[in-house]
Order: sequence, then structure tokens, then C-alpha cells
Amino acid sequence: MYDAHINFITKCQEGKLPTVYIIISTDMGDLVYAKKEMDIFDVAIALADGSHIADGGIIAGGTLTLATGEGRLLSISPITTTTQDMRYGSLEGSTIKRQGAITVTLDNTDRADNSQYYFSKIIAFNPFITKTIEGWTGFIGDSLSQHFQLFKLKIKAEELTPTKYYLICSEQ
Amino acid sequence: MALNLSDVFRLTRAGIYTNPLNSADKLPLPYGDLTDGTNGNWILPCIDTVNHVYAYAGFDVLSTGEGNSVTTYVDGVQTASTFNNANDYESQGLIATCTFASTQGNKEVSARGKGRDDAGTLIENLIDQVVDFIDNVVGETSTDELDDTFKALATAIFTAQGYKSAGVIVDDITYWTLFQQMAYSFYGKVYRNNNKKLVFLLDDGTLNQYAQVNRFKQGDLTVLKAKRTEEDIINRCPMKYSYSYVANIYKEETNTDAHVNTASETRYGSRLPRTGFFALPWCRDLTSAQTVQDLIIADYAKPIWTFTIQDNTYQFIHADMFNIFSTTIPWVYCDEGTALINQLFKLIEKTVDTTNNILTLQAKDTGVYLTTTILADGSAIADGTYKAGNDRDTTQY
Repeated sequence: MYDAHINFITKCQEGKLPTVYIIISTDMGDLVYAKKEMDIFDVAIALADGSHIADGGIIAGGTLTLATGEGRLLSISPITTTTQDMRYGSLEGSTIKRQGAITVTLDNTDRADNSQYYFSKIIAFNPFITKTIEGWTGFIGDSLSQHFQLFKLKIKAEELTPTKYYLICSEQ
Repeated sequence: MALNLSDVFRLTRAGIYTNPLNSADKLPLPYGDLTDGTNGNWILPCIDTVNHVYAYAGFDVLSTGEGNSVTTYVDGVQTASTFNNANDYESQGLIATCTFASTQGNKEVSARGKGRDDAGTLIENLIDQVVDFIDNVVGETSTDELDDTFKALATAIFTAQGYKSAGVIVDDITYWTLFQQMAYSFYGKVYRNNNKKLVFLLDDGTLNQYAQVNRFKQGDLTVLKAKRTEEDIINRCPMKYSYSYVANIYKEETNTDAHVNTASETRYGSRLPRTGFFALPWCRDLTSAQTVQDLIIADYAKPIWTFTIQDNTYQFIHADMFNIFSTTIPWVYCDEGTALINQLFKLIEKTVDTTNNILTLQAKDTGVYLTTTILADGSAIADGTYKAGNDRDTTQY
């Protein structure tokens, strides 16, 4: 079983749909993007860097601060976890490791000025290739510790168009 | 989690020594008992042409005093050499070496013998070999990489099954491929769970109904379809084992009638795996090979249903690979003539579609169901309506 918080499962059982977001660990820090159609949400993280006193005033795993605060996540391809490649039958398939891979699609347009390209500018100096990308899902307002990790992959390739930025990620 | 399983593990090259025959030759890493056969099982690279020194292993191994039995061959002819199980050759770190009295030129030098030890005991348990490889060869920390619970479980199953693991890493290889080969050699699987820990799961043919982690009411899930294929019927499974890293073939094969499901052969004809055999790269003894053979036949002699299940919520998003769950599928019947009520299934694939908010599961029928027992207290007439023990529990939960 995965480690999933009971509050998260309870809300899912009630039919509520959590927010999906990704965290890209880059050389300039963690970049967080949520789904484009969802409202921006505040999830602030309290780092153990001495910026807070352990006096009970703040919860250690409380919240995560969105570095960008933008809903640029357009889609994530279906995330498949499997231990066998069923194309070869059950027995032989169990001897073949099918490496998990997904494509994350992000919005490359610049809201302020459509002639400039959001990710084009970022990755010119800060390529995302070889960096780690995490996918999470959780309910707005819940503590980060109650969120559920969908995946943690490595960015293997990136594709860029004037309007979209694709991250091709695979299992570590 | 520091080990990137997609990365390639590179063996040490002979080029780190002063006078190798070929600088690109790789130092092999033997594990387990590879004394089988009458010729060398793996090739030894020459690391010193001046002093006729060959690398038996790229790390220190079991000594002869502790039970190692090393035989060296030159072009297939047994030739004496001096074995040193822990030789810090040219201060490049401990390796095992075989030194000949004279030059062997470009001839092929090979060896039979035993591999890595742990304080004088040959490492033959698969999980112990993985731990040694991660800790002492790769230099990572196995306690960080491996799931503790499943590590203990796999270790215990391996021992209980009487298996012995033996193989040689002779070439650069991705960690995934290596671990996969080691696992399926003993009817096991390896994967990363969602806690990002490496899990080796060995199948010993048993299933505990109390090991189920979920019970889904009928209606909780939408079962889209059930599928079974001819390809998944196997009633005869020739097993290849004892790989020769010199000849690059499996030296041994077992395919006796004693390990065949004759009832399945009568109904479906002789059904073999797609390739005609199942190979065990890290297995070198007949007993282990036949144990695995029997497990495969037990699982595959009858066609197995695989179900595609869908849910429009994330309530089962926490299910992990090989989790057992029970549910009822009233429109599929077992070979006893009863519907799959409170049947146990094993999860083999999960797809999360965050765009359409759909969870799709692939699960395999285990053939096991929840049971109930009728007490001999007169509450039921012995007219054949019920089984005295292990009757299917038909309660609608």
C-alpha cells in the first residue's frame, strides 16, 4: 500500500476531486505549477533552515509556497505503474521491465505579453533536462503532509513550441 | 533514494593496471557457487602480461580455506594457477587473482569457483547478494534503497524455498536489468513502490486471504472487461539454467514429465512459454530450477482471467503493485461453476489519468476466494448444498 493520509482518502471517497500539481526541482529552486483551469492556491512550506523557531507557532510540514503561483500545467499523460509488460504475455512479460514514462504539458505563453515565451526564457539559462519532477495531488487548504505523491521522475527530454512546453519524464 | 535504476553500472576496466592485455577488458563480479560443470564458467581478463596475472573477480571473494574450490582453464584445458582471494593488486583495491607460471598469450582463460563471501560465508541468498552489491560494490546504502519489510519477506521466502543464487556480472548493465534478471530467476519481480523503495517480491505459490488490503463492495468499481489468452496457458515449461559466460549459452535444461500438468495438456494441448522455454540467468542448480518450474505450472496450467477495472474517483489511488483485494464480479464464473463472489485479485497495473480523473486497474484472478466454514452442529444438512470446509463466502458485503 502507498502511504496516503486518511483525510485525503476520505475526501476522495466522498467523490471530491483533488488538485493536481507538479514540482520541478531546478538549479534556481523548486518551481510549482498547478492545472491551468484551477485557481491558484497557496501551499506554503516551512523549511528547516532556522527561519522559524520551534515554539509551536508554525507546523513543520504545514504548507508549500508556490514559487510561481501560476496555473501553467495543461496536462499530464496517464501515469501507469506496472511490473510486467503485458505485450509479451503474463510470464514473459514479468521478465521485462517496462520503464514508466509520462509527458507533462505546460503553457509557454506569457500572459502579460503574448510575444514573449514564458518557459523559453526560463530554460535558456536553467535547462530542466536531468532535473527531478514530482507530481502531487491534494485538496486546497489541506496540509502538504496530507497530499498524495503521484510520481517522482527524471526529466529526460524537453520539447518546445511557441505555445507549449513538453517535459518527457521517465522512471528512476 | 540515491540509486538511479536507469543508470548503467560500469565494471572496473583492466586499464587501471600497468600492463593489461586489453585495457577495455572488464573485471567480472561472481556471486554464489559457480563450480558446476567441467569447464570454465566465466572468462578472466589478463591484468598483467608481465607477471601472468588474471582477474578472477573485481572484488575479494571466498578463500580456499573457507571452502572455495577454484579451477582455471586455458582454451578449455585445465591449467594450474595460484589463486589469491583478496589481492590489493597494484594498490588498486582488493580483487581476486589467478597467477600462471608462464604467459598464456591471447588464449582464453576461464574459471570455475565460488564468488563473494560475507565474513567467510559464501553469499547465496539473492537478497544478501543485492545488499552486498548496493553497499559494497556500488557504494550506496541498501537500507535507504530497499523496503525493509519486503526485504525481510523476500529473504525468508528465498531461504524457505531452498533456492541458491549464483551468477556473474560480466558486462556493463543497467541496475534495473540486473535486478530484474536476479528476481525472475526465482519467480520474483522487482519494482519501486510509491514510497520510492526497491521491492523484491518472490512468489512461493501461497496466498493468505488475510493479506488482502482492500475489500471493494460490488459497485465500488466498474469492471470493464475480463480477458484471458492462449498465450497465458502454460502446462509444460522447459527451464534453462546454469549459464556459461564463456560459451554464452545455458548449459542445462530440465523438461521432465514429472513437472508437467497432464490434465491441462489433455484439454489444451501441450502449451509452452512463447519462446519455448523459461531461462533462469541466476540459477545454477536443478532443485531450484524445478521448484520455479512447478510454481509456473501451478499458476499457468489453467487460463487466468485478467480484469480491467475503472473508477472515477481517486479512492483507490493508494493501491500498490501486487496488493491483494477482494471484490465480486457476478458475470464471471470459476471452474467450480460459481460466480466470482468475494474473489481475491492481485493488482498488476495501475493507470492514473489526471486529465479525465479516471483510475484504471489491471488485476489478475488469484483463483482464491473468501471462505466460510459450516459447523458440524446440525445447522446444515449434508445434502451436497454446502462444502464442509472452505466453502465460498457468498455474503454481499
